[in-house]
Amino acid sequence: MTLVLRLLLLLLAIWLLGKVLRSSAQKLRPATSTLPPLAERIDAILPQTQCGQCGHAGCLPYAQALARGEDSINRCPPGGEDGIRKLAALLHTDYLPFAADAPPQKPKAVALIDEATCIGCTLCIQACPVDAILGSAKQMHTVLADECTGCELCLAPCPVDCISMRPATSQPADWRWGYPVIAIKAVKPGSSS
Amino acid sequence: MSRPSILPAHTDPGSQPLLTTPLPAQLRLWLQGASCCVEVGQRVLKHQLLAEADSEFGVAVHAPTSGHIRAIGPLPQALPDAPLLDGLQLQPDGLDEALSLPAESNWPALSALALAMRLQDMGVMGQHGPLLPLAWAAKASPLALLIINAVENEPFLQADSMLLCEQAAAVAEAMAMLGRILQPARLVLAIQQEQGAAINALRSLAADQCWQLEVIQAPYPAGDEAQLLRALARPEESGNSLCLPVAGVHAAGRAILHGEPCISRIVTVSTALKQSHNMRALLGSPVADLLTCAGLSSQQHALVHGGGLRGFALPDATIGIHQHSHCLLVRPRQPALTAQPCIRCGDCASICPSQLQPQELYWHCSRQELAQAQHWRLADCSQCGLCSAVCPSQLPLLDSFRLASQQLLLAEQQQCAADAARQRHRFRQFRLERDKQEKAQRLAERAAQQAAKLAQQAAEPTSHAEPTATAADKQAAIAAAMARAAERQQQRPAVAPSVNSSEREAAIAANRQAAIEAAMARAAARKAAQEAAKAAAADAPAMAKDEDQNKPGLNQQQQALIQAAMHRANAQKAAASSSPASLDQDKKALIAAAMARAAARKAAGDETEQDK
Ligand code: SF4
Ligand code: SF4
Ligand code: SF4
Ligand code: SF4
Repeated sequence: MTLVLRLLLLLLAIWLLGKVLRSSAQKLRPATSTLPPLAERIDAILPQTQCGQCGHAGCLPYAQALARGEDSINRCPPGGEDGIRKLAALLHTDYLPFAADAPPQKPKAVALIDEATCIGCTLCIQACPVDAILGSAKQMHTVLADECTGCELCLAPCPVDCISMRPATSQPADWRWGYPVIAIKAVKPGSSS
Repeated sequence: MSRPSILPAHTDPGSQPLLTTPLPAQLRLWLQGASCCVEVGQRVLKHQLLAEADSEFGVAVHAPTSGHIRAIGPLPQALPDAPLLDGLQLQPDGLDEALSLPAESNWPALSALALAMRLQDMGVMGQHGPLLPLAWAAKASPLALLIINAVENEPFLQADSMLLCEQAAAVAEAMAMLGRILQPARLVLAIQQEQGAAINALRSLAADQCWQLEVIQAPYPAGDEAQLLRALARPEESGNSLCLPVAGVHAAGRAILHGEPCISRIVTVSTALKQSHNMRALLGSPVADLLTCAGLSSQQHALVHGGGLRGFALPDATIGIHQHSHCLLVRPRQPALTAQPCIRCGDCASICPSQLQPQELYWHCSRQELAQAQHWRLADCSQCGLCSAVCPSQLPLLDSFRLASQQLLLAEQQQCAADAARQRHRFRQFRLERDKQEKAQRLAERAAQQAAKLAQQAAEPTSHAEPTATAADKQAAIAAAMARAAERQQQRPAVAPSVNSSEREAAIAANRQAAIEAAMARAAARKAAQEAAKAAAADAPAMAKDEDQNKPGLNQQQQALIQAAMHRANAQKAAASSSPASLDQDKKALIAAAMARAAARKAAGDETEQDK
């Protein structure tokens, strides 16, 4: 009698424990339904230069291609190796070195229109993916340096080649602490035993 | 740059007098967040405005003495790694001619924002940019606690104590002025226990003033803004308080009460041998001049800008001092230190005032693992430099933490920029799509209008034909009646069948004519339709210019064309269907008319025959 009771109690305890564990596991796991779609999450870590160097029409199409598994994660030069690492972490894949055919990485730059040469053709406005160029027909155009992502898409359409890329301005706010340098004592090969 | 192995105690300036540096041969002023408003070669007077603040975080620059502007351009600055930043070289002419200073008489009427802007124009600097942050002043929220920070934070600093000893009355005046304008609920001057002389100087003034003297005893880094707020602010005040450096407050007093822009500051020049000199130096004075004034030569010494723990080495003694140059440390040159691997002694962890694990942090920062560094609470590091100072392996802990924090900040800024770019890009796409739809709609409307016009035109001939048909009907009816009457008359003499055959011929001819007319109407309608299509096609190239993206637009246009064509076809059909319906009647009428005409002609012929 007591044995049966004990067994029953044991079973009850096991059942309760299982229930508690399952519910807590469900609570701890992030619900996939609450997460934004994968393409959106990939797009959130792409650099948004919108330059098309990855072979897609912008960052979102590349993100969508990645989400469908149709492209590799090592094609975005503005994102750099850091970007590849982030993508690898998000997509649970291995880090890949830069694709051999991907364009080389460049430091961040902003476009500058030579205002004396600009003829006001508005072609660059149509090319700029982030509306960073201001101007109207037959008027001088200028680049809003704060909004320019440095995608270089405005260079090609300009019929008088008056747009050039300048390194992003160096301002006091851009000043950085130098990389800490550790002096290394030179050890001559023969002198130390 | 060497590091002290133990923290030296604070030393009071004591009886040492405040020196004044002789006029240097050249002043090098730093234009941070300011745009120059003088030209090279121009002569400027003392207190003249040289550069105006051009951003929220910049302050104006005034001429510390009279002289000529010699150069405007990149100059090495008193910052680690001495980056070249825009600066201005002023060669004093020794006359020290000054502009007359208009003192503000109605300063109590100033609002917080007006005060902040006036201080910016006067070149009074606080911790970051103008003494009173403009963004804060614009909000104009009531201030609960205003802390004037006179704590000598790092070892070797004496400038603030010196200022309080020398100018206690002026500082008290400035604090009263700030208290009057900003109306803080509580105004506190924070000072450290060790600054005895300064405390004595203030004690006599503190009685029945609007401010209190708060002597704190906390260890380094108690003078940091965050630490002071934590120590002095009551819980309800903590979100709504401001901390200002005492040097800035003194300069603000001079600027507002006497109209004098900020052109000098007190600098401590200290050697490791506890000899220190305090001197009032013009902003922009080269470091070498200050050393000479203190009786040191810059050649044999390594220079450190800032206090003993957070200072950084200056490569060049020609660099001009700026408003944050509170201390210059002069150290004997030492061979470069060599860093050893971390031996896990734990000294850094036990001294860290933020209870961090600097050795772990250093490991991750040096490997650039910023996410891990964040996990080890890099954000909590106050960058006090104590860990670097005690590390037996001489590891550059502080430098790595500074760099890593800045990298994190940069990453954050980049993320913000990327988010902004994403938003702009999406808006642009939305805008293009909207423009396209609007254009397509406009074109469709125009095409529909044209089609309606054409349909009207196509319908007009039929409506024209109808009145004529009704008129013809009437005429025909009259003629028919006449013809019937004539028939009746002719029936009596029993007309010959020959008349019947002539009637049939006339009917066939009439029928043919009707068919020809209908064919002509159809041809005209088709021609009109072709013209309409051509007109619509002339609009099409304007759309086609926008390349393949315009497919939906083209489709709509095509649909509009198709609709127009269908309209036309309907109108044609209507015209066509209306004609068969009336054809029978018309035919009858025509036959009748023809018969009547034939009868009339016959009658006429008869008459002429009779006449003949
Ligand atoms: S290369 Fe990178 S930044 Fe450029 S469009 Fe592709 S994903 Fe965006
Ligand atoms: S201005 Fe030129 S480089 Fe800058 S975002 Fe626009 S198209 Fe790209
Ligand atoms: S610098 Fe940072 S890690 Fe080092 S002791 Fe100070 S607070 Fe701690
Ligand atoms: S003090 Fe230096 S050697 Fe000691 S644990 Fe910290 S980093 Fe390592």
